[in-house]
Amino acid sequence: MKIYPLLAVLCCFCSIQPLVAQQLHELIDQHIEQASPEPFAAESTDSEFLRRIYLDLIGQIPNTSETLEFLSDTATDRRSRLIDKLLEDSRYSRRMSEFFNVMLMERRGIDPDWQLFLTSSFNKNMAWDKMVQHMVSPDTSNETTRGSAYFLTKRLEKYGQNPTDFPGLARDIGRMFLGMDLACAQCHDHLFIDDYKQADFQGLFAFINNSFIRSDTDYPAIGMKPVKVRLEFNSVFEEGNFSTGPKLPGLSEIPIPEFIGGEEFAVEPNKETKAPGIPKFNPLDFLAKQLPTATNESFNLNAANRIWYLMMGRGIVHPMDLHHSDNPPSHPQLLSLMGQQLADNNYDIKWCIRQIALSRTYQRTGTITPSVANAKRHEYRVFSEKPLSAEQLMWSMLTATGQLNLIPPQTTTVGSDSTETQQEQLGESIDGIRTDFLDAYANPPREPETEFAPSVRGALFVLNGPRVLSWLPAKPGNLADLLNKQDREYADTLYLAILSRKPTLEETNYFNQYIGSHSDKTKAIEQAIWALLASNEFAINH
Amino acid sequence: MSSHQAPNPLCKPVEHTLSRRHLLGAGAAASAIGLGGLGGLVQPLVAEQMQQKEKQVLFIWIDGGMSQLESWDPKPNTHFGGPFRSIATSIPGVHISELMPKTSRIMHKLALDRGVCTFDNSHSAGVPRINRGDPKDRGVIYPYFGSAVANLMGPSDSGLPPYVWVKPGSGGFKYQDAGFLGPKYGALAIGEGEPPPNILLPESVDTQQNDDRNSLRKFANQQYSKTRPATFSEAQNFVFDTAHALMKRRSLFNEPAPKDIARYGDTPLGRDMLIGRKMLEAGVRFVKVNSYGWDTHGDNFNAHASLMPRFDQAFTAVVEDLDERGMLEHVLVIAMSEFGRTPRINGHIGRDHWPEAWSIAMTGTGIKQGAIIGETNTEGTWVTSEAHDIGHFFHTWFNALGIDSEHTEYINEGQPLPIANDDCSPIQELLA
Amino acid sequence: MDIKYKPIAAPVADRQLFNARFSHDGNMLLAGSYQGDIRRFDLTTEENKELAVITGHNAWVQALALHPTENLILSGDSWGTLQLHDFTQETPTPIWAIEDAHDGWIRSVAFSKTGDCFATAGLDQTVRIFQTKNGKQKHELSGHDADVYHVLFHPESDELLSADALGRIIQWNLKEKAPAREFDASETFLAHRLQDVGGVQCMTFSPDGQSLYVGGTRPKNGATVQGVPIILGFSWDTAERTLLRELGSTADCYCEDLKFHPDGFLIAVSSGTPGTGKLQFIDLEQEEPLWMVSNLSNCHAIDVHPDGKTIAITTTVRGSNGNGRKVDADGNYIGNTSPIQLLSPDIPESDSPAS
Repeated sequence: MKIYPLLAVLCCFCSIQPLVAQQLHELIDQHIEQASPEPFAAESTDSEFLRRIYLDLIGQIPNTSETLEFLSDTATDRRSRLIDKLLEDSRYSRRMSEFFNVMLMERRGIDPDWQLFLTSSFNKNMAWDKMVQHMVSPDTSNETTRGSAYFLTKRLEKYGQNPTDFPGLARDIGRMFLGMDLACAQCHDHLFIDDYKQADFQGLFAFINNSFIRSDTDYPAIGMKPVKVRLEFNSVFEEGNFSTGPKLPGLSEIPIPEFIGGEEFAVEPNKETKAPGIPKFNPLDFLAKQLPTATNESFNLNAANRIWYLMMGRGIVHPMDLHHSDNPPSHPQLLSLMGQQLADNNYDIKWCIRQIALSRTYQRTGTITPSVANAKRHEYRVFSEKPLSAEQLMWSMLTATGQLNLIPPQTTTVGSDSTETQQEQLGESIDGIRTDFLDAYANPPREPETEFAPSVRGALFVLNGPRVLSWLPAKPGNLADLLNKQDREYADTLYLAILSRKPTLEETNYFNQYIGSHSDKTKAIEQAIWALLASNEFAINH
Repeated sequence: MSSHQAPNPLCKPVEHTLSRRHLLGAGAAASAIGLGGLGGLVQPLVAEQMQQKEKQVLFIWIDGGMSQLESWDPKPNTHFGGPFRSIATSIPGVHISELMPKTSRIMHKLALDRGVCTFDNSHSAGVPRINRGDPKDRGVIYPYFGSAVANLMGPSDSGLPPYVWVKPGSGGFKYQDAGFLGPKYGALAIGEGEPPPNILLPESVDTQQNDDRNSLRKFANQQYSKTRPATFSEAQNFVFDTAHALMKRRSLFNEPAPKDIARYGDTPLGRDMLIGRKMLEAGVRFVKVNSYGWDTHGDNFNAHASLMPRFDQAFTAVVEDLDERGMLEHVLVIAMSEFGRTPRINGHIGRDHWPEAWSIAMTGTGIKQGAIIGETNTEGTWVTSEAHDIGHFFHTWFNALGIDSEHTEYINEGQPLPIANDDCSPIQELLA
Repeated sequence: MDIKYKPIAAPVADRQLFNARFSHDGNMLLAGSYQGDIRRFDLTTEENKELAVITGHNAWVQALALHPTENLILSGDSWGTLQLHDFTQETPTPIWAIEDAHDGWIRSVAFSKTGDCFATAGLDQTVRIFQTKNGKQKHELSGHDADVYHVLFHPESDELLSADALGRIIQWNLKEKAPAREFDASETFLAHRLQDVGGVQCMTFSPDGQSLYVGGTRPKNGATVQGVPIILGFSWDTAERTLLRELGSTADCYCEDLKFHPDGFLIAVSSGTPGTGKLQFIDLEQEEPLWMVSNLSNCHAIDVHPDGKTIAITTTVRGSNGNGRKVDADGNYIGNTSPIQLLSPDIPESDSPAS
């Protein structure tokens, strides 16, 4: 969307309606700011914004030279240029893969084909609707994207002594792509949420209840048995027999074609290769067509909501998988228009992120002043703190200490065979480091990471774990090395490297005094680095 | 239910996964960013009653179903009585299984209810149900007893977590026990007697350096707090403080003294019971000690012949140890399973699950020592006295801890919830 | 040989039973019960009528042995009482009865070759020797650190063996009252969590006395015990283990009894997860059993009729397990019973061997 400068200038001086539609970020600000009569906090400082945007867009803090570069940039468009730079940074797709992996798979496991699907999709800014199509109807002929099947197959794997969790898969399709958790509507209409009907759950269920994990491939792949009849179900509360074909909430049911016996398959099963047959009718084909479409309002709203959450730490509908009449969006019109615009812009995730990033709402400070002390999160009058994921902590600690430069360059392969433990030699590979950080900070499988939940395990990891502690002592070019070579102004170096800002006067005096007057300067430097790495300011995305 | 579908693993008959309030969106009302939400705030009116900071709980969980016929309620020489004899105890007229000789000598310190009758005979549903006090279904997942006590009574001044679970197998943080109260009230599990990972200060950091670095960290945190909201920071500070409390108490995990091992028994339960006692001494509010392997569908009698003496030793050791240390007057001790075992002896020479008539033992603070109540018939097949469900026991134990179980409520995001089944009441005969 | 047996009868009592034994003339079947008595079945009657019970015991009468020549039955119960009866009496009264012969559960009793004395083993970890005529204790042997499950005399030399819950088998030097030799059957034992699982379930000598065979399980876990039923064979000469034979899968659990058939093959029974019971006829030189029935229900003990044909397998009734309170039509709580499966060779008439 282009801005016509002349018209914009005219708009400032007279009340002529602009001839071009406002950009989304402007609409965001209007809606947010008009929704509350209370005061809104001021804009963030440059260092506040810098750290925040780096973490949100590329999943790590900036290094010292990136920090200095931005903080010394005085141009008025420095923030929008930084946003654009980061959106094109090679680390953008790494960050988005990590974020979407956690959101979509909820720590169920690691798979290289799934990883490839994610990173390649974000590398080329694949539209969200296309990504969802791949996830619900994977294309086995495309080596780059076929790992998308992992979304389905991992959920069909049995864990513990439980049977195959078809209801769980149906539920998650609803949660992730429609913003509806229909778990409690399997056996009856939802007891508390009038909008969630048993028929909705069963309609979703009917898309996947004949699917299975293929055993004839070495990549995740989904098979489908011939679907011949509509799904029958009963309610534990209502009398009568019910039935449905595959059907999304609010949309039309997919008719199930009849085939003469023996003619259900387009490709017959192959007993030798163990390849399952390809049935002529596959409900997932229809799911891929109906679900991620501009006419599916729930899909649009959910997509916009989740991208909003990525940047703002909270959905406009919150929790994100419980959108219904009694849990409405905090800003319904804003969400609707975001959903609409996202659809109009071909579900371009990068475009949407950029718009949010440009808004005053996103760039607002998080510091609390009396006028916003009583602010509620959903008012966005002051920016809310967000937790850092295990991955963000890992990349940020590697960056802050300078350790990242000391690791041999390698592709970010996932799922290595390495079984390093902390007791074994700390061979520095990203996979090994990631394992440690996931152990310390990630939730157990199937537990969403949407709330701030620090753990004693994480605290002990950074206090006493050999991994992070091994990054503190001086090695050529790392932070401790730089500090050792200084004889003053330690605080500046420390704060710029670790907290991405200049220290206050008080902080400067405190740290310079501590290091400068310590009998063992080397040790003092290590403690100072550690203290800031372990600080709340570091652990929180503010 | 459609015959195509297995029972919904997400939908258990008496529990649905999210509270009404949660589903209705805590977002519309202000929800604090935080540690498990607002769940678990107690009505201010009764808060003062619970300033009994020094009361604690030792909850011994015998997982699988200890046979009441081979322990607390023997029926020697009857149709289903099995091979063992009963022995007299320190309470005239009261007999328990010959497999518990040590316990028989401290019977006068214990309270026992042999008229327990509960309603779940499966492990998978029964264990959580019993641990939660089988409350009425209000659309929330109720906390296990340990999480409940951790919430209602809070941690002690020790800085240690309020709820520690000593068990075989894996350690780590087990938040599931907490139900709607939120992860803060989960259990810190000590597995195989091993401390949480990274509990030891490494050699590269001496105590002075550790003090230094934490002073620096606290300084940095103070700076941050000047202009930032409290909730995230407080949560962070809390976990670091707890980590330090555990580090300070790492001697809790040291190899125990030989005389202690000899007293408690060199068995998984003996060792875990000893850690449990140490945790109580260190000030942990609620300690759960698990023993697994009691589900004796096969070879029940030979199994109990080796299981019971080891329980007997560890149980009496901890009760007497607590007593000697003056702790029994403020620690509530409970020993139970999820159900008992059938009188009928099956072809694998075992006993099956039996919630219909079994026993629970307890002692300590608030409990009347020597109260042996509840009766079963001659063959142990029916409770003949007033039968008590687990809800009655939760009432009883809360009251023993000084909590008015009938008037105290949780407030879960605005929804008041009774802390124990509202159809039950305290068992007065068990209370001091 | 082509062997096949068929069921001919299954006498049952109103209480569960242990270890059914044929009398010397084969006309009576005797078994200790789960509630303080010994049941007798008259096999000369069509319905295998129960005779008057032998009383005087408490709880489980698991330990039972017939005198090698006389019509005497020696029994021991789980409260520690030993008794000797003439089982041919209409209403038998004890020849002698010793309370507290052991402290608690007497697991096994066995007569010496002549029957002048007998050995007992119990939960109190002792092995004891008594005089048959008056029940007077001659020796107490300490050495086991666990529940002693089984005693056995060598059929020729009368040397005494005892086996315990840890899989340890001691051969005793009776003069020194000390262990002389040991056989290692610890394969049958597993320490699992708080429980001692397994141990020696049964022992028997080969007819020539050259080998000792021991039955049990290789436990996989405690609580609801699972394990592969195994037979271990030892050389009597060297005490070396010479055989390990698996009898089934982990659901088959315990090899509960071993007995040699007069025709020279070994009979083995197993009892596993409720309902599982197998009977096997085994030639130890062959891999596959000579004959097997795998659809019996929990088999506990074997005895061979003096005529060398009929065998008695003590079992537990089908459908014996289940959680919760199972009641009959009148609301009474139902217990289990122990049908004693009697089986005889199934020989088609045309193949009858010439006598």
